[in-house]
Amino acid sequence: MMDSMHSLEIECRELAAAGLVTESDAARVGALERGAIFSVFEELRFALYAAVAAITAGIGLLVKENLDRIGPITLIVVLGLASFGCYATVLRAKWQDKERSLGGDYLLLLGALILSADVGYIESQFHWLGTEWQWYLLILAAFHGVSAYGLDSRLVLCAAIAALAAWFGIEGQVATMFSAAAAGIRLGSHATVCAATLLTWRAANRRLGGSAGFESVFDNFAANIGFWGALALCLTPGARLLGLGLLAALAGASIFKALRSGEEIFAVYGAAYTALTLCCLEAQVVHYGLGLLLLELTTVVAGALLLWRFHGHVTARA
Amino acid sequence: MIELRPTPQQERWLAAAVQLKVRNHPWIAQRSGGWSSPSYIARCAFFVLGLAACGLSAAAFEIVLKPWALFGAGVTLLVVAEWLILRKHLFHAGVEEALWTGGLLMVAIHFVPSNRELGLALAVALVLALAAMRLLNAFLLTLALAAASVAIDLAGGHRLVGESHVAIASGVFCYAAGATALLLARMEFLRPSHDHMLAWPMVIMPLCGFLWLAAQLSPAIRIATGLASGIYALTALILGIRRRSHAPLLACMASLGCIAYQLRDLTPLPLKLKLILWGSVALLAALGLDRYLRTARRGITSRQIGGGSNALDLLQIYAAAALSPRSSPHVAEQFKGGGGTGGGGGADGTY
Repeated sequence: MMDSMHSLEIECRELAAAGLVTESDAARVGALERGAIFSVFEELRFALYAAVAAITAGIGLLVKENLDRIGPITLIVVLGLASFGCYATVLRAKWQDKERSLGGDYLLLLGALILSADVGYIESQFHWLGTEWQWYLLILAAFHGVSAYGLDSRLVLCAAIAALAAWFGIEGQVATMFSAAAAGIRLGSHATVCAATLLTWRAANRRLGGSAGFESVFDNFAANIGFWGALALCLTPGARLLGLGLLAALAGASIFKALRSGEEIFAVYGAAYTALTLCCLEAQVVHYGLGLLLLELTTVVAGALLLWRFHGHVTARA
Repeated sequence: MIELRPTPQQERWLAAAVQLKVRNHPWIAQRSGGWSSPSYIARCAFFVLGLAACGLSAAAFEIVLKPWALFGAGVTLLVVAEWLILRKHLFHAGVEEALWTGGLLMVAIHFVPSNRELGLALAVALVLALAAMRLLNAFLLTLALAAASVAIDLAGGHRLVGESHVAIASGVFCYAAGATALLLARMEFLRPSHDHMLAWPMVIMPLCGFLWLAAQLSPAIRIATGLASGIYALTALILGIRRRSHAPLLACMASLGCIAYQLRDLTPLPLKLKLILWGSVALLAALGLDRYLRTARRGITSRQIGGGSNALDLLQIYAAAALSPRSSPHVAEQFKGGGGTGGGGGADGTY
């Protein structure tokens, strides 16, 4: 029995009576509000993520430190078996036509991550790909992509996209964005191509009848990676105009998407990334102290106003 | 008449509109008195933009009004924040919260000598508490309590940097603040924001208390912090289940993490095996609980009810990608698997 009753149930009933929401929606939220039904989904999600993170971190350390003691073959086999075990559990549930639970999703992610560590370790030991070692990341991206579709898993799709981004060299170059011009151009061009690849993948997903839930994953990663690319180009002397053009295109596309689909996060990307990039650019181009500060302040205020304006439209649309 | 903030009923309408995704509907606007409150994602973005505006304003005032820069910038920001609240009816919008807090902090710091650490910590705690009360902001209240714990430590004659000491008073204060929030949350509040203002401290403050004492290696302190975390976790779990409330359950999970840290020397296993072992135990426990609660037990279920939160879904996809390995396999010394850092796939493998 509950000993606390903070409840919006009355408001929910009035909203249903006014016809703003359906009776069933109001009843569902009402039941949640009075505690008749209580979901621990988010708590479990957090616990599962923490567990998977701890295991993969432990495996990372194991691979790094225990090469001599265990031996590469043993380690490869053990990791392979562990990964296979995770995939097998999920596959068995699929073949039995059971609905996959949240736990199944994270077990699958764990299997994918262990496999990634295993493949990376195999390549580090045997150098099968030689100087073209980075292709192992593309192989991983392809494998995770196929298994994401086969098992309908957004989390494994995230692992595939992360491997693809790593193959484009984005992860390793973000840290150098503010230091070296050459790195800026490289990151900018690679990020742009990576974002374009993700959008192409998304278009193929839609055309070929892929999972609708995957589209938001592609969109979010493409937007972030694209904006990083624009930021990198804007910070690189000689590529600033290109960067500004890309920034304008991405901001327009993000805000257009937000307005059309009602997904607020794209309005945030469009306004916040644009304001941040312009502030960084202004800091490089304008050298007069007070003028720079006032210009940056104006940019930030304009970004906030823009976001507020679009936010209103987006939420009305949603 | 000028309204300083929404009435409790207006705030409840705003909260109900969020729950049922009918925000910005004219019917809601009429009942909420024209107060507007963006989503959590937009609020965070506005807060960051507001903080950037605070920093830039302070820097600009520093150039034109040097001895009174902080005071001038602070007053200006406060005026703008109040204008946004009173005229534009922004509530929990992020930007007015950043401007109000930043502005008052600047005014306070202007009057406190920079060489007085205790005075500064007290001023910061007071400002954050005032801001939390004015804006009904749970995050600021938690920061105020954390700043108060720093002030308590400094009042005991300690220094924050370069001194290792046992901060028992600060630790006890944090645990007490968390426990008070946990117990007070049984009261019925009219405002949803008052619930949130208790939820944040009940999760964060025991962690702060633990952090004050976690660095101490003496067995007595380790046992005491482990016991305190254990008792807190158990109490929070029971209350969370009885009240059907998420915050105590999160507090329980955070405290369990503290216990796990204090039990790190229970076995002589190396860190990597401990991570794998305890991670596997946690995974199995979570999988078991997920399976057990798939059919609702006394109304508690592991299934997602409704559409869920956009912010948490976003967090999930980025967090999953963050676990993926990204290192060069040719540099075995630097290789880390999942969860590791490093970088440099792609074009040339340099990093």
